[in-house]
Amino acid sequence: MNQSKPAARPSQRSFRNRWLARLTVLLFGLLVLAIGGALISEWRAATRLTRELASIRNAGFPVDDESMAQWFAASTSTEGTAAWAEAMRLTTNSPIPLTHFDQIPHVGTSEYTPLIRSAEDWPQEPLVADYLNWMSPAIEQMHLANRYPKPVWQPIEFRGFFTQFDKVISARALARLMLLEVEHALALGDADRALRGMDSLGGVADAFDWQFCLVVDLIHQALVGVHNNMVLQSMSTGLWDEEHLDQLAKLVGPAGDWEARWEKVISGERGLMLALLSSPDLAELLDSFGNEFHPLSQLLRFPSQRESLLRGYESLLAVGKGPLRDLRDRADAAHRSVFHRNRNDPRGVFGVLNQRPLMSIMPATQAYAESIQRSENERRLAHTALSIKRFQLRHGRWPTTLREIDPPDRSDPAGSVGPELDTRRTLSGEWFGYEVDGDQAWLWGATWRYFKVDPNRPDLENYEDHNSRKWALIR
Amino acid sequence: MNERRALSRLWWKELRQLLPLVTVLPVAISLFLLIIWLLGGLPSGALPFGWVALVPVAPGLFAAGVGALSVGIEKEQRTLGWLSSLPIERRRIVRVKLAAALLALLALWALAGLGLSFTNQLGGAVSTPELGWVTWPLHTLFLLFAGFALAWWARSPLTAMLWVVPVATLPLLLAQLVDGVIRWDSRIWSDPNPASLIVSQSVLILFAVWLAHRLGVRGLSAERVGGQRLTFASLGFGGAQPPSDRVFRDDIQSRFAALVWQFRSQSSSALIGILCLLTFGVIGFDTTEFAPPVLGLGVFALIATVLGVSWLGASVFQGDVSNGRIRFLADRGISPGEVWWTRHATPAALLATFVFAMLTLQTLSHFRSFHSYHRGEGSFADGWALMLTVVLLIYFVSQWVAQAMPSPIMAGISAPIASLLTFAYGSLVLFQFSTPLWLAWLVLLIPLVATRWMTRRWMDRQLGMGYWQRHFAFAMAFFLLPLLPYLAMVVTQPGMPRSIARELRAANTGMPPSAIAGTEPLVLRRESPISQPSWLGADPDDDLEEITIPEPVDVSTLPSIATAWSEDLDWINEQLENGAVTLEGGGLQVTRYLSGIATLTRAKLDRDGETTNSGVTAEELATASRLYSESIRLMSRISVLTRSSGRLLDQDLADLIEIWLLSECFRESTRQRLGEPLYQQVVARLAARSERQAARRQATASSWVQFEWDRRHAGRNPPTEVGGFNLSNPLLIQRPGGSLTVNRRIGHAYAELWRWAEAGADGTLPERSLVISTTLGGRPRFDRADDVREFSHPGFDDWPSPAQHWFAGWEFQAEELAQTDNPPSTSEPSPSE
Repeated sequence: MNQSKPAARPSQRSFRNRWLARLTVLLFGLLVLAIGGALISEWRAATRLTRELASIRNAGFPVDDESMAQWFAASTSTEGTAAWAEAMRLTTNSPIPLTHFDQIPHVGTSEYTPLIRSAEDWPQEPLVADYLNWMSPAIEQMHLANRYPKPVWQPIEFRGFFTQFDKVISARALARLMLLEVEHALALGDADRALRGMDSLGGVADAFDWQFCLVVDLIHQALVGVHNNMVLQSMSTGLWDEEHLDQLAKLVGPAGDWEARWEKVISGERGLMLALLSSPDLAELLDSFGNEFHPLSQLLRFPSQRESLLRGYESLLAVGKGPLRDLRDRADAAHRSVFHRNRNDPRGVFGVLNQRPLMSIMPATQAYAESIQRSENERRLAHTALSIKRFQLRHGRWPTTLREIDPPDRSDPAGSVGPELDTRRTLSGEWFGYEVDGDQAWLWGATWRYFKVDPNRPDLENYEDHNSRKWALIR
Repeated sequence: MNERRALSRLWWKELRQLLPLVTVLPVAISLFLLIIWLLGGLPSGALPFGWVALVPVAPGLFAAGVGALSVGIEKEQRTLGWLSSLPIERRRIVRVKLAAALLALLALWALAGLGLSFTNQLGGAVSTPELGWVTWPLHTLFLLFAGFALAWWARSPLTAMLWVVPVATLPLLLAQLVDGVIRWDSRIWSDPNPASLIVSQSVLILFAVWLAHRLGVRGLSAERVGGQRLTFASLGFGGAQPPSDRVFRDDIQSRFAALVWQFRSQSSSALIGILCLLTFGVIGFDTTEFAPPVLGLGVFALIATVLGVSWLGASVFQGDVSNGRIRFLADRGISPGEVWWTRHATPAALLATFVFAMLTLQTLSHFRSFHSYHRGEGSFADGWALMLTVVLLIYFVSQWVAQAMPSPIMAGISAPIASLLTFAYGSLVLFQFSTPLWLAWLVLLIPLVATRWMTRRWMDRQLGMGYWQRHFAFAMAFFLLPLLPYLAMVVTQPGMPRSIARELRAANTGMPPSAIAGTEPLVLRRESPISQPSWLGADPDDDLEEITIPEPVDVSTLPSIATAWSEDLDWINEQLENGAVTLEGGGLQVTRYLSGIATLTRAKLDRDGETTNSGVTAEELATASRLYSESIRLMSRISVLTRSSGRLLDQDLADLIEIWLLSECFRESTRQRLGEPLYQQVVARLAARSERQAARRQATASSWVQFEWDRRHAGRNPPTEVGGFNLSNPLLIQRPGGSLTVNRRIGHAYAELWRWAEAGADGTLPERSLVISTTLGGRPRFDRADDVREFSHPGFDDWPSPAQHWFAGWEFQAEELAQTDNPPSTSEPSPSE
């Protein structure tokens, strides 16, 4: 007999099996959807990228080699180009005889002394004088070139990251020669020659203040630092009168527009990167940096990756906006958000995953931010040293504390002895170190590593100690 | 059949049974090492240090798998009964099995010893004898006996192999326990005491031998009734109850779900074991993030993960092969698609769970990481894509191996090995053959396509030649497709045409470069003022005199700058007069020095107008004038020397020197300052275009011949420069696959250089310059001295780029200058020059 069996009740197990089967199908469906979604997302990213590049170009910022060259030309002057080129030609190969190489500081390998020596205490002074005599055409050429408007255009062939910066690197040779000239002038007590040298030393920094990428601007910061440090060191010679101090204060100058600088430099970096990306030989160019860059050339072909790169630069551009005091902190935060997990990133983990491969080609801006802050601290320190000396010239004594210079409740009929009060403190609001020592005074700034002002004055016998911060012995 | 004959046949059978494993393991390890060696691309024949430790892995893997193989096959083929029926005592059968396995293990150890001594000779990659050389063989012995015991005990060979993993840790755990009890050592996770370890291993070996023997004898006895076995009937596929009653009723569940359920039921014990392995993997990896790292936990977790994922892949098809279960489905007309999908469903879901668990825990670990440097930072992102790719690769390859291999035991052993080999191969093609990522991911899907495609034949057990041929075709596609871009590059990359190679060899008629240019380097000073410190190679035995401090110089005894310059110029002249000098070494420094003196003295003369006003003495001006003309004369002399060199690089340096000389000659007062004879000689030299071209041609030819010679005699350490120019970075990567394309690329660039040298100014093409400079010089330079008056000379700080100024405008300007000034026709340097 055909007797149908009673239908079995669906068991819990069978329910689970159905669920499992559907889950499997769902998983594969999701995979297909994910691939489709990724393709659409790339297409949309490509559209957005094109729009964004157009807007960057319209805003006047570079996006390739050609616009980079135009941008550079627009922000520099060609009047002094030939004069500075000739100065570089004369200086770059400055031939010190090898027998003299370890006798001459700055351009040779002779050790520096912490304090500027007088000619009598400087055994090598005749050699230095002889050398400077032969180098005088180069020095005079620099003085001549310094009259032209700055910064100065120089022929640079922009090739993305392969752009050669040999000109700005040569500028360091100019600065070294001029440092020797100033130190020699100070040793001989020739204030006018020393001031002229200091003016040209600052001129070197200004002439190459190109602001189109981090490397170039870091060299510029270093040149400015060399100049301001020479102002500080010159205070130990006791050579300056009030007129000299005014000229020196002018040379040290007011605080720069750091926000504008930051924007220009990072925009320039972005321009170099975009120029690299638009190169048809991207893979080959990245390969030439090393084998580890090879996968990047494949990743960077995805519009979404390029867009991530632009987002990264936007984060870096935003770092420049705000108080200079917090610049390093903002750079740190941007670095974390670009390179690491950003917990507030709405795209979450997967947004971070996209950015991860790009970290190797994004500029690390923390060191740059720190150099800007350090540069401003040194500028303030130089102004403070000048104010202290001015105070001493006017009152015949050293100020007991830094607060005594230009107290807010009293105005000096002879005029201010120094710039605004803030310049006697570091960016973090800490007062510079100051101590009167008989007929001389000590001034010192924050240490390089910790950005803190040490309570003790520098120990000139201790190389580590006096090289860890900027200082001046004022006489 | 007498007992003796039966025994000898049994021995023969056992050895034949083990032969595939004994063969496959050393071959697989050798292949793996070969790939690693190719990946490393080391200049010498040495293996990267540490990888050689893989050689003794083969005996270890054999010991872990031989029990399952030897006993599992008997169980799978149901030959245990036949064995029992032989006129041999059961215990002797068990002993023969163990002895055959031991013999094979010894053979593998002998092979491993040979391998180690071979690799030792190659690169000294093995360190001095260590404790591991004693404990590891003991451990393999323990694994072998324990593996046999587990194989006799477990019902399924895969289960036995799963159990081997935790059992393998027993000697270590026992040794730790002994240490803990005897020494009361709280450092429980430090290395165990060697004596404790050896004693523990010995005790456990004895125990494993006894157990393997006992269980073997029991296993060969008549099968006992009782106990739940995983049989067809127990799954509802046998006996009086047809499966349609239990499973395929539409009112209960779908066919798909039923098949999934059937798969899960038949593989439940294996899946549970695999799940345990994977769970251990997840916990092991994440414990290293949340807590202080435990010795070896990461390695165990890695092994567990690789084995777990691999056996998960193998489980896709192996459950159906056992006892011919798949025939049941095939006979009932279940479609291959349904079978394929339902076999994958459970393992894929487990795999997905594993991956998500790993990702989730790793993500969480970065919020509360044990390592402070990880906390809050995104190191999670470091390896997720790689982890996913590797897991999928192991899974895909293992399921392929499981379908291709008829024996589940061989598949269980081969799948992890094949996966690791494929992983190594994947790394090789990605990093050495530059396979695009998208193609690699696409190729990763081939094993899935292959198993889906072959499911029908696999279900019908059509395992003939056609089956293997198809699998072989898929394997070829799997391994060769990633190489396609590279092969395309090889085909499309032009090389050095034979005709040009012949021309180059024929053109190299000159003397060897060294005979022309001399052997002593042109240097700036007579002797080094600072003696060589020992750490730079002076005297390695004399550690006390590492740095020699120079004697303090009496400044008053130093000559004036001008006198020192004069002395230096005399010294340079003396070296050039002697003839046997080369610019390699300090040549660039000398040219820089000379050009510096000339530039400064000329500027001084320009400024002071060669008069004695502005405090400048007549003597000073005369000195400047003399220094200027002498440095120009020496620069001209050096340009002659560089032109005669057979090195390509020297030809380009000669270009730079001549461009510099030409710019000096263009200055108004130069003729007067140099004096007519010297000026005419210099200008005539600069105007000699045909001689310059001949020199370039000769240098191009001899540099190529030298390069070819270097390449032929270099072995695995190919030359890194051509004609003095360093090859660009990507070319220096000594990739085994890349050498062919690299050679072709260098040949092409060189052929372009030769064509240019032959064609002269007409052959100047921007794309040609780019190819040459990117191949031979690294970073290309684009500025050419087309007009010396406008050209910003780079100085002599750095070597020039290859052919940077070949046939540029400066050559024609030099010719024009010579014609304007009507110099003597000869361009040979005079003896005084």
